[in-house]
Amino acid sequence: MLPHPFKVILFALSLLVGADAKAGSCLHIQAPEGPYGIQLQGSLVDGKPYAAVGSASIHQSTFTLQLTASEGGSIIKRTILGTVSVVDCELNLAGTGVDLGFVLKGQITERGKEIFVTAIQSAQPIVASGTMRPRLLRRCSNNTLKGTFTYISQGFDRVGTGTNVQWAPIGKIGDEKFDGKGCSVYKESIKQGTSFSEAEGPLKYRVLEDCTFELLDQGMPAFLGVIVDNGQVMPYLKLVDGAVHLGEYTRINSSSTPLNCP
Amino acid sequence: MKTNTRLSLLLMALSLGASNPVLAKCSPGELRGLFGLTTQALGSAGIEGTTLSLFDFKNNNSVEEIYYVNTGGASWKSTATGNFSVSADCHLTLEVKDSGGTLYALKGRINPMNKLVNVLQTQPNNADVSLGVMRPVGLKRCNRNRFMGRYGFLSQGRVPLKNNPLTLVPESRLGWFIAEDAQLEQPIEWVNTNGVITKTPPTQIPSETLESCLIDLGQGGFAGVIVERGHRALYMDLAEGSYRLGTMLKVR
Repeated sequence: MLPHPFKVILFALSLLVGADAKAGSCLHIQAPEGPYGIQLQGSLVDGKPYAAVGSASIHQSTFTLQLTASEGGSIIKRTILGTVSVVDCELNLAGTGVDLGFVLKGQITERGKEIFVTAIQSAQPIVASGTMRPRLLRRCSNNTLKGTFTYISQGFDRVGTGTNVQWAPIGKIGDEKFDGKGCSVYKESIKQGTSFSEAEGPLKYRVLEDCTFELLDQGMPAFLGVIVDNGQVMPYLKLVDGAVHLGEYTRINSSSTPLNCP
Repeated sequence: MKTNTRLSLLLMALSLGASNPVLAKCSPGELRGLFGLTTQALGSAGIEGTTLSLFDFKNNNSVEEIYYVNTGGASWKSTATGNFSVSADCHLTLEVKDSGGTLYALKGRINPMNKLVNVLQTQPNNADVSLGVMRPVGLKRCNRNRFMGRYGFLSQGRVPLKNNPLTLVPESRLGWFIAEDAQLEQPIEWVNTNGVITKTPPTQIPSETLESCLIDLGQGGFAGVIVERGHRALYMDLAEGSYRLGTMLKVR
């Protein structure tokens, strides 16, 4: 139980915050600073699906965004530089120089938490939205990725070629254990068309110091992810040509399990 | 000494939380009460439908659902009842039927740490792929005080181009509003319709928070559900052919 004076102070503070929110003020929200992870999903204006993950480094009024996207099944990596502004909880990351015309517009609702974002590109228009979350870790290693996570992913696989291209939707939910040493084991349920299946198996992984990570399939990067929110959440993108899949891991625990990746 | 004792207790608590595998186990009573869910049905043409559901998980493993569907150029509200089970390894199986006997089946994975449930619709006669994250309401019932204050919002989906339901184009909307007694004051909204950016003028939208924790916005224009004790709300567009889902987050 809190002593009575503390209760009074907390009550007064809650009234102040409530009044502030009701008035629509956003004065207590500060501009983002430091490393962030980004996930976007949507489509190109020609109807092809689009998904992306990335990491942004924000320092005062400038940003650097490393973005990896699957644009209609083609994997494209970009580095975007620009300026940052925040007015009344509205965030603008605006590309400069060769990146002029790229804007990531956001709505901040709570300091240090997820920010809603939507991407605007004048050169190649897209409709893609998602979230931007603070990394809250200075650096990462394989040991950062230790524990059990649930995940959910959805997207499309390109089927056919030329003018006969179609997009087959796919959805997955599953669990994945990471041993903190570069080996993971997943178990998932898959819905694709009318078929429903289960799959499981090991995957090697490597985590880079910038808190991005790759899941490897036969030594080749098959998924790219970014560790955010102090290791609690990890959006990821499938890197295989013809796939447009975006997923998100959520941590269940940090327990270490010995795993064997052949 | 006092600091060391506190530090030891903190480290012990952290190590228990971090390593105890029991925390990853689920009991049959893991899901109780109200949960909100939105799903988008993906077909070969993109998003072909949306749903918004409020599930009430009962003690006897029965479940009641109030849901909205928008697909095939029509939207409607209905109810369904059925059963669910939760396995020790936190897997959810759920089946409900509406009054016409139509089956809706979900498979889910519960995160016991935050009660979020990743769900995948499983009935084999449906070629669409529907999935989403079910979130706890965290309340037994709601009143209008649970949906008050300033919220940021983001929505995305496919909408009719120039009100033609035969031509759907992608659209996203980003902005904020203040929820008051019976309406939303929305000063700004950025709209990206098929790559064309517009900014809407300030607008007012009637809103009603129901005791069930569902929200009616725009007098039947949108359906919403309050989750996470009012910190977040999920919503869907009910306009004909407008398959668009959104999330609102309270500014705090």
